[in-house]
Amino acid sequence: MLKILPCIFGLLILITSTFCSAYGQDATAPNIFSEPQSENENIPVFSDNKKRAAKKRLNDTLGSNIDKIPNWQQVKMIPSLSGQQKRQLNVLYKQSREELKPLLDELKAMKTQNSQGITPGQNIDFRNKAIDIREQIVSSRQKLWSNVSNILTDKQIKELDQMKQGTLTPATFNDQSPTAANMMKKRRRFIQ
Amino acid sequence: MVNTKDSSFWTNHLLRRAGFGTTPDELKHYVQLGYNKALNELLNPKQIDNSQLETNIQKQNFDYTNLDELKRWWIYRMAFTKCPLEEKMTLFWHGHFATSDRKVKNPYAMYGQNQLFRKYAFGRFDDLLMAISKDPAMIIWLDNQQNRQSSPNENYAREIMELFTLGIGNYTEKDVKEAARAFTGWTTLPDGFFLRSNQHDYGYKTFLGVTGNLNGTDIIKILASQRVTGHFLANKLVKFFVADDPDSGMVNRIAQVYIDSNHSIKAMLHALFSDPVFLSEKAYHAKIKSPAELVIGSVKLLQVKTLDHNLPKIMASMGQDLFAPPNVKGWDGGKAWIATDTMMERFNFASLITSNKFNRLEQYTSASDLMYKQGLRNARQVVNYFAELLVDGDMPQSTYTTLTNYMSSNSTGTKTTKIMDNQTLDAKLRGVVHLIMTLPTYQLC
Repeated sequence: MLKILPCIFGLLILITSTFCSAYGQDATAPNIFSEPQSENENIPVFSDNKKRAAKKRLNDTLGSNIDKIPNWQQVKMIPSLSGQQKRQLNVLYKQSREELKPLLDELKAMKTQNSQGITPGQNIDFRNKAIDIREQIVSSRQKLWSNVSNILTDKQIKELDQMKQGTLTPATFNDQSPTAANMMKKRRRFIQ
Repeated sequence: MVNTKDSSFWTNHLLRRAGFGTTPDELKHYVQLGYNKALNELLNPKQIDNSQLETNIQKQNFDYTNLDELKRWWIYRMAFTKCPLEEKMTLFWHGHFATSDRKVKNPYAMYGQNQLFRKYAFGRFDDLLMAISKDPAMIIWLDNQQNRQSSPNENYAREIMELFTLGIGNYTEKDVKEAARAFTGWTTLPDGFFLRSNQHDYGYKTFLGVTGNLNGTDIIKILASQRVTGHFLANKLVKFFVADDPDSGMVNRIAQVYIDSNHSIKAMLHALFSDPVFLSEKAYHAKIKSPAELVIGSVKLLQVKTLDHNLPKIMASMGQDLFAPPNVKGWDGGKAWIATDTMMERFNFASLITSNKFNRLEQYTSASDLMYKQGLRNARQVVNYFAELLVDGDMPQSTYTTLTNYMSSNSTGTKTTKIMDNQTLDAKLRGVVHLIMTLPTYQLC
């Protein structure tokens, strides 16, 4: 019996060490579905975060604000926009759409051509043409934004930025009681 | 407490209803507080430091003028807030004052409305009703910008009575017409609510027995002060939080609290979550999870940190498209959540959340780590652990046996007593989680 005991202990040690190494030692891991420490400071994220970051990098590389220039749908939501401003901006955006249409159509056709395959010899010309069109679009949109920002006040541009960030106080939407004084104040502003 | 189950059991039950379920750590926190203190914490979100959520949201770069992004923003809030009842009440009010961006076509106005629900979630009902009546999204949704003295539009006047306060059968057509006159001129301009005085009807009106030069504010006060409004609200709250078929005695008790507390929503909720019916076997696992509860609950229980960016679409395919309820009545809820197509979507979601698509496996903690950390040493313990985590252990013995057999068999289906390699073990664990998530009990909260 005494001769067998060391063997039993040896076996137990072997099993325990195998078991522990197989089962790992990381006591901080809550479970299999948890994200490891490192990326994004371990805060929860949506799966398209990398895509968004890549898009941002691309824009930064191109040195353009192509996707940051607010579109008409966003601009028309600025709470303090007057009727006259709205009309002027609508015209500007409409003009811009018309101006950009041929360029965008050409880019679309090139994308289709690209997806169907182009010969290696065409590659450089093709890419240069795409860059050229893209630059024209960027320049046109920057011109548009310059015109738009001439119509908007600094406060409105700030509001637009706050809307995109979600920091504009929603109270501006709903906390105005229709008291007589408030009503008259509003009315005066509306008439102006 | 009215029965033999312990406090932690009912705290878990409370958090499934007053929130979207919990992570194991959150549950531990609330259980340590005890049921009553946990309830108080849930009812007082302003006393909780939720700044980490706001910081994390800032880092996500959500664009609030884009509807898909707005949906992701809300899902993120629901999943990671420290104030779950605040988000649950926001969801409740979104269903109660159902407004859809399909008509409003202004995500930022929908965002404003959503924040309004959060702001007034626990206050006096009168204040919420006043704020929502002036909310631009609501004004557009129910056409009140077309409500003029010369041609009154009755949409808002009808819905405020039928869907928001009294319920059908408690008002007359005359009341609808008079209320519509009172709301004439209540419109929205780009800078928010605006009363167009030249379109408002300043004449005398008689509404629910009250005569005078009534305006929208008066109508709201009259409606909020009706006993039947308390009953209507209580019925909806009990249906939303307790049972699809509300107990009439409980509804009456909560309705009385509405009157006694001067229309306090917080008081109603406190009474609801302390009611013997809520803390009874009858209410336990008796409600079908809404898609929001299912999706957010799964994210929390399994501590998923990388959310699929298609979650809004997944929830929509299960029947709950945020910011786009099906009609003015909102979502029917209850058994309406379950149909052949939506059930399939629930199973697909279970598959997604347990597969590599949802979390990149190669970067994750290994299955053996989980076993080690949780002290799981055999198939039976693994099944018990996940059954406890996902369905509160509410599973028939036969299911336990089937899952244990599954867990203890190798990839070819042969029962084995050998220690599995990490890859097989991982696949088995995901398999067990997937199977439990497709059980009928997992569809209940």
